[in-house]
Amino acid sequence: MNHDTTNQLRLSGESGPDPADRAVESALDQLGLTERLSAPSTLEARLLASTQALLAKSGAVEASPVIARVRSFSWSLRIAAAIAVMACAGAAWLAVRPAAPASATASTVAALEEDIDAIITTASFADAGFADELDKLDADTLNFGQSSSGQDWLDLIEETSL
Amino acid sequence: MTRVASRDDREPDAGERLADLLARVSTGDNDAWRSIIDLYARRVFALAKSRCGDADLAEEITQSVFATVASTLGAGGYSERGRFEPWLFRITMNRVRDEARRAKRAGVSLESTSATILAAPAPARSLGPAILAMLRQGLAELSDSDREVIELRHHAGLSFKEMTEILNEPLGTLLARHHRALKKLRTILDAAGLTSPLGDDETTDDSKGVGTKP
Repeated sequence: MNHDTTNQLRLSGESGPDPADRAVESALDQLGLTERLSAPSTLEARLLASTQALLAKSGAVEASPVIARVRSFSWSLRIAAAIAVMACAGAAWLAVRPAAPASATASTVAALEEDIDAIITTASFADAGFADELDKLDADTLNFGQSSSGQDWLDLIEETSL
Repeated sequence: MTRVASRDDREPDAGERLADLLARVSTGDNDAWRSIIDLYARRVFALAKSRCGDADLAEEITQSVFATVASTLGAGGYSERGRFEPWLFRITMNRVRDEARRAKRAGVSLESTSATILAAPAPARSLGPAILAMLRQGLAELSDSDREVIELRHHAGLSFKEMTEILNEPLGTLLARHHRALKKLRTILDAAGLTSPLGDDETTDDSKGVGTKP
């Protein structure tokens, strides 16, 4: 043991990179212990007396397992309801959604467009022939009218009947 | 019997024992609750006293903390996952901060209150009352942040791992904070010429290894 007569003290049994820090740390440990032991000797008894009632009161509340079960059940119900809503929404979406896939729809539209083009082309050809026929008929009617304008219809009928 | 358990004297199966005690407390077991009080009351008291500097106020805070814990445990509002101590001391720190705010509003300085007990004789163990008073004086001069980490470590007796959960900081950060706080305290003690007496009080027991740099 090294009793120094000066104010400079040594560490007994200390060996480390920074023994001075360890000395302060050790002193702080001593201070902490002193503070703990400086508490009134009746501290624990007083604490027990003042908190026992709280513990008993709370314990009575805790003793009802039904509350806990209802709480967890209600959570289960909430989760089940959420799943049911999601399922309904999914079913509705499937019902509203077009049955054919997108690629099939595209090919159908392309084929339909080709058909429509063909119909339009055919119709335009038909229209052209029909118009020619109408023009021809119109011209024949005109010629016939001019050629017959000077004749008596009754004579014409008689000649024809002859 | 009162035990003052801290980080240095915990048994290996202390966690399991604590979990068992807490489970019994939640069923209203008074003996288990008494054991919890015996294990932690003085640590909570020491932390509160160091922060507030007033033994009566520290006891009030301790009462308040244990009332909260009893209510929560009794109501089944706490499930033990090895975090009881961080929870307990977080409640304590919050109460201490509340008290500091209240004192500030009322215009009472806790520092001035603590100054009165700095000179008060403290029960000496291996360090004399004068040295303990010096240490308290040095602590009082530290910033709140530095004091916090030192008091949680040395007064509440928490491990660094437990402190990470209370302060929400990584272990490395806490270790650095603690180291810096020690350095600052040493500087304060050096400046006041207090480092020498750390191990040289008339009541000091040299064999405890408490001293300072040669």
